[in-house]
Amino acid sequence: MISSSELQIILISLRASFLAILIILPLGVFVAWIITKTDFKGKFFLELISSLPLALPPVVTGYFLLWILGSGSITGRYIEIIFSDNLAFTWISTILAAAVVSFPLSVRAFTVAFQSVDPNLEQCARGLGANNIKIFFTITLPLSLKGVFAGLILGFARAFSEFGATIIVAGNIPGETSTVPLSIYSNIIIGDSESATRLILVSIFIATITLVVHNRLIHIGTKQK
Amino acid sequence: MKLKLIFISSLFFIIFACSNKDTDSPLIFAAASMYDVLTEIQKNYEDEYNRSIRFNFGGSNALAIQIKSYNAPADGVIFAGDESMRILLDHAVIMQKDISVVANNLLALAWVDNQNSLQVFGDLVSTKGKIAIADKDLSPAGLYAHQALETSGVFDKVIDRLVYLSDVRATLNTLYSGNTDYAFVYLSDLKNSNKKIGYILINQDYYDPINYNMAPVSSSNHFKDINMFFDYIYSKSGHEVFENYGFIIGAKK
Repeated sequence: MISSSELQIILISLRASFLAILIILPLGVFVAWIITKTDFKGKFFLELISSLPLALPPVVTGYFLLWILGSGSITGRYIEIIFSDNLAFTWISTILAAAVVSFPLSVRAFTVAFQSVDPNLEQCARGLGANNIKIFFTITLPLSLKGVFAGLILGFARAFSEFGATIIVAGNIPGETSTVPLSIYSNIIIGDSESATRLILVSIFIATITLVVHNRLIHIGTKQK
Repeated sequence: MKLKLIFISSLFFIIFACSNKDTDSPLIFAAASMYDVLTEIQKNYEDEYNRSIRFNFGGSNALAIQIKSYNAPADGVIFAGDESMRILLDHAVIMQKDISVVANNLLALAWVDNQNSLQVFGDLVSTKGKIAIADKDLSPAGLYAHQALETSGVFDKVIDRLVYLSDVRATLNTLYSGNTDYAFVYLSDLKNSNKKIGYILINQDYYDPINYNMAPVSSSNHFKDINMFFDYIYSKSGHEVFENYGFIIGAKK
């Protein structure tokens, strides 16, 4: 059976993943909207930067985040002044690592969802005098809600399984930043294969649920067309 | 609607349910191979002194680089092998005078089947079957095993039988699964094994001492707290835990 310390590990992972998609939701929707509905000179760079963590080894993303948060950089020193604490190796950095790594995946799903909205409907609304914000909240978002939700679920699955960036920027601190994948790693190294197996089963269970929900949402979305 | 409510309230439960330890307490970066022994000592220490301490577990060299190059907020370190300590010494993160040896480990040659049993290490030459060894570039355990084979003059005679693996745990696992007949492992790994295993200790003159070192980080605000915890590790109750896990206390440095 799952022990209380394993339950705590699972809760740490669930919390990090939920808060990660909470960060991704407004930011990712905004970026996806810019990518699909606007056109400007530096757009290429925005697309590149927002999807870079998808292609980079997560360890590299982790070192980059550690550099940003660590007290060695300018950003890190400002963060230390604002929060009166170094954010690297805290539970907050676990959330940030999960959010950054899952961000591109969600944005990709959002982009596809926004593109699937009939542009004629948006044109109509514009013709009737609606501004961009109104068009987005009354036409684009309601029509692509399932796709947005599917993107969030996908981001959640990725955030839950995040390892490489997390171990670099947040470390593997039991009770604080030790997520499910990190604890599996520790258990394998010390040879506690029973605890590792339990956590592996939990990961498979959560991955299955999230992917089933995700696939359902996408499936329903295409059927309606 | 009801479902939504349940969903949202369970979300908030998860967010606030896991309490965090005081993040002001000292943070020690430690080798992942010492996860079980250190978490037990940590628990004893916190119960006895009512002071909290936190650990961050990972590969020793990787942790050393996180501290040296990225100012990772470590207050102290407990690492396997001397290489990771040297990285920190070279960058004046720690001082030579603050380094102490926590414990030692010994190298052993292990087997499962009684037919394979050996009396002395040199007899390995006259045996048959595969020998599992950790890769010397990937794992310190591999380096020590390599040294033992070379200095004892056995290496050339068994080179065709060697099977290279990523780390010392993996070598032990190939023995369990029956894929190899002998394996180079640490004594501490055998002490915690619940399987029946035969082994001989390899003559310590054949390889460098396997040290686990600890040191406080010089610039830490928790210098005193770290030293207090290190003193606890050196106390009788601390040593007992280490010995229970198969580590050697008070061997030569």
